[in-house]
Amino acid sequence: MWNIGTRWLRGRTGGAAGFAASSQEPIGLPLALYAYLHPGLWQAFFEGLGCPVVLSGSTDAAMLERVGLVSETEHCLPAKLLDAHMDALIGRVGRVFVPRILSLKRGYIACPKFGALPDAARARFGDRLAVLSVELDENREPLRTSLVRFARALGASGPAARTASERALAAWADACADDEKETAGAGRRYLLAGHPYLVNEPWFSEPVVRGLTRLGARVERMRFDRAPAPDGPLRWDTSAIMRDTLADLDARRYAGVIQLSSFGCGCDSIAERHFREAARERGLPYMLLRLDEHAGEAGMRTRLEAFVDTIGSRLP
Amino acid sequence: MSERYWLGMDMGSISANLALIGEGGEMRFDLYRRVDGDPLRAARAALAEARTALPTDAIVAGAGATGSARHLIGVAIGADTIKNEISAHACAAVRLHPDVRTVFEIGGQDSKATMIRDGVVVDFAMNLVCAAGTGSFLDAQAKRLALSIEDLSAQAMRSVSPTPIAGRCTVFAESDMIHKQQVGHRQEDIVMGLCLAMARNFLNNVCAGKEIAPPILLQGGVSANLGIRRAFEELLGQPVIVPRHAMVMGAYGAALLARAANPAPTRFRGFDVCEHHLHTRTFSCDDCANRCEIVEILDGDSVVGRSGGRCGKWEGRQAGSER
Amino acid sequence: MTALAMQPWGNYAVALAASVECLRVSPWTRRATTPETLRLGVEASPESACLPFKACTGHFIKAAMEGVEYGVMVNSRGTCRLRYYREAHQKILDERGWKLRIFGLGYDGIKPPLIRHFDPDPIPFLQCCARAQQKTLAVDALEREVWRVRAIEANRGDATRAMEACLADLDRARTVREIRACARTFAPRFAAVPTDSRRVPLRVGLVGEATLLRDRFLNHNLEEQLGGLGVEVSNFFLLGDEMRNIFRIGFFSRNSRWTLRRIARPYLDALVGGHALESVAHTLRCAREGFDGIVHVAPIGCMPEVSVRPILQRIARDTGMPTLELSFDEHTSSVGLTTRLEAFTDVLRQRRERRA
Repeated sequence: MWNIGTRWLRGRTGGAAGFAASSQEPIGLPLALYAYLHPGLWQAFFEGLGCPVVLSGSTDAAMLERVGLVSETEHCLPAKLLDAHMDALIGRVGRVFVPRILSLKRGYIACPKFGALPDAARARFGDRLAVLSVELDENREPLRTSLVRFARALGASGPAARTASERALAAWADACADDEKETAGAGRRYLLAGHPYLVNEPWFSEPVVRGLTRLGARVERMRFDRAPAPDGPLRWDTSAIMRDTLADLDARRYAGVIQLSSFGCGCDSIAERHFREAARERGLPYMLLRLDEHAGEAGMRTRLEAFVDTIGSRLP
Repeated sequence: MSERYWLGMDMGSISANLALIGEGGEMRFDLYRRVDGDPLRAARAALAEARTALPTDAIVAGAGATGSARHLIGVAIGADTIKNEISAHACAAVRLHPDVRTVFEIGGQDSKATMIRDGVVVDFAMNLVCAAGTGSFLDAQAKRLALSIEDLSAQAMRSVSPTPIAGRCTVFAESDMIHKQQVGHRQEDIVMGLCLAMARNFLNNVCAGKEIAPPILLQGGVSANLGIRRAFEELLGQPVIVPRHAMVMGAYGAALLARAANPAPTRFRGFDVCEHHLHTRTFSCDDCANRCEIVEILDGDSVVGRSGGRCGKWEGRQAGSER
Repeated sequence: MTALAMQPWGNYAVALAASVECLRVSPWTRRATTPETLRLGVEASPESACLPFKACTGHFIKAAMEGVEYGVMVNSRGTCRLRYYREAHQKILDERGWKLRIFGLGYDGIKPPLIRHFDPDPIPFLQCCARAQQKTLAVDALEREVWRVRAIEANRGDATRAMEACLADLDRARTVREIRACARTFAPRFAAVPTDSRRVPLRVGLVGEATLLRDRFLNHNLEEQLGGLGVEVSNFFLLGDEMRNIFRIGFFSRNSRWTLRRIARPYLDALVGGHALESVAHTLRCAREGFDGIVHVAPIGCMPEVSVRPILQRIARDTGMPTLELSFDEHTSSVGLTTRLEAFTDVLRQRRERRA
């Protein structure tokens, strides 16, 4: 009975150990969920190690169609999208990368769904895709160390591992800096808040940005390159950063905050109250937009329009 | 010698179905009726109709009940087997198509997908809280369009380019449908769009993560709508079979199960039950903080059975046990 | 006398009541959520909160209505939403003007705030802890008896009635000696329940989220329903084991977190949070020990349990042991649940017949 387990175990360590010999074998990177926590980093990392990277492509209607067929129904939509993106890689690559993220910021923890991510991916796609993984836990070691350790485990020499890690971190920094954070225009400025995998995922954020731009507003996407305050009420990393960002907002610079949240997000169900309070304390109008796979754009446009109108009439 | 029959009744939220099978398990009489809410009255009406269709010397050798009101009906008519509708539908599907591997059963409020391998149910799934993948979704929209199910079916088959309709839930689907009407989409395309939305909801909400292997059977009340079959075939890229007796498969399965149980003698109280004054009354049990509602089923003045209650102590007098 | 409200923890309510005597407060608890407390909780809680949150909110509101001044609840430091629940319950109570202070029972320095507040004398406190521990173990043993007998009882409800009688006695036992004597009577009492020896029960493991595993109201009497279908259940949330884990006793014991982590490792190599790791480990162990099936219960949207569901499905696929996933919220219908359970036991029975 128990050989099921050992076969499994062999399968998973085999992925990393056999890497050196087959480092030319392309690796698939699903462009969803975790990809938005470290934009640009993983692609640069694997390319730095001389391994060709295959991206899953951007989210589109066909990808959402796939969500329903491959994924667990009670997850939040971004988590389901990750499954769909991995499913899209089947047949194009033999292996994918899914990290286990326990913490992104020292003293904070990641949303629990990231803790079981590689295991869940193996459970679902293990027959068709080998899953490479690394544990990222800022409470134990900084990201740089994790990257070097991972590269070494993949068979890279010490200097090569360090070069690849540095290059990866630089690419991440570039991606954050390059990112078009604000749309052009002369209208009033709105902050688009929410988890990185919503705010920076074009499928979710573009309709909102488009809608606001059409109303003559400027949109600034929230940034995540700050450390959360040490004693905040929330211990989830991205939620804490979101709350702190709202608490520090300059009410003269922004006209209002639009928060994106996905249907079924456990973190937001607790944190929403804190976001709302933080925005109220800064005297900023706040609106929550809850997204799911079937949300129609018509309804959202109405709400954005109403939100912008009320702010416009309230402030001269 | 007079012929022996087995009776199956499927009492659901939307329809009451009845099946009578013969010695060889073949369907002899079937009946599909919409119910307006009172399952006991519907059962009596169905029995009265079945009585007229049978030869006078026919013997009912056993009776089975299924459907969401199976306990109530089972006690009222004196069923020998009371089985859940998943097992009943699977039993009937295997009987008609022994190689079946997937059964989609879409009823009024519940929809189920059952996976069968080598004639045995190995896995099943059922819709959670939402009604989006069930028959009531289509019913609501058909009412809005003022179409009968037959019209709905005919229109859906005519559609050339179905209108995409966003439909996570019935309410959103309705508002999206109205929007599409106002924009000027053709009605047949909207109808087919609804069928696709329903089928998609079913695949997403009910079947997510399950292996859908052919041959696939579609049964239950919704199978009368050809648009649904077309929608499933388009989405899955495989043929979907609507079996004979698709509308009354639950009752057929219940009859087959009663025949397999081979009760001697049967508990069936006879077709004359339809003339009895069957009714229920409820009281709340005050023995603990749960205050469960207990339902008593009466025939005239005598109690024939009770159901309800979390602790099970009221079910002592219930006829027909599951074990 | 001051009163202290405690969460409904099933039959362990008896043991919990014993544990607070030394604080010189009277315990206020229930064996299960009631329709009334759930209604109160649903009204007061945010819509997106999970079912245990709503039930617990309602429970504390009901306690406050009855004039209880203090409450205590488990307050984890883990990754799931539970760590914010004490604060969130407190906020809801404050906003509605109820004067009930909730203490967290979690790792918070050496002394939990509850102990700091009431400051009991050390000797009676330790004696009281010993009594509570003994009662907990007695309830564990009682549960195991009920699961076994309920599947084969000749008259439906006999096992449950025997359990009620045992619990009433256990509640009256005052000293460690009395508790042990009482626990020794359990086995003969259940042996006296008439059983149907022809029946061969199915063995099914219950895993998942702790509140739902324990609360008979929230899980729609899952144990009784399965027992009535001829299933011998093993509910893998036993408070005795859980306490050992909390106090880090019995490193190598059968249900210690260390052991479970080792078992789960081929499929899950992280703690995840909540009881997700336990769910995976117990499922694997049940497969190894030849159980007929697993029922996984979780509130809808439970972060840790939902994230391991693909893993449970995979285990089911690899081992061939069927798994039924049940999700609960306040709208869950009993009818649908019963249909699922009956169909599931049909699947298990057919599977067993085919293998025989």
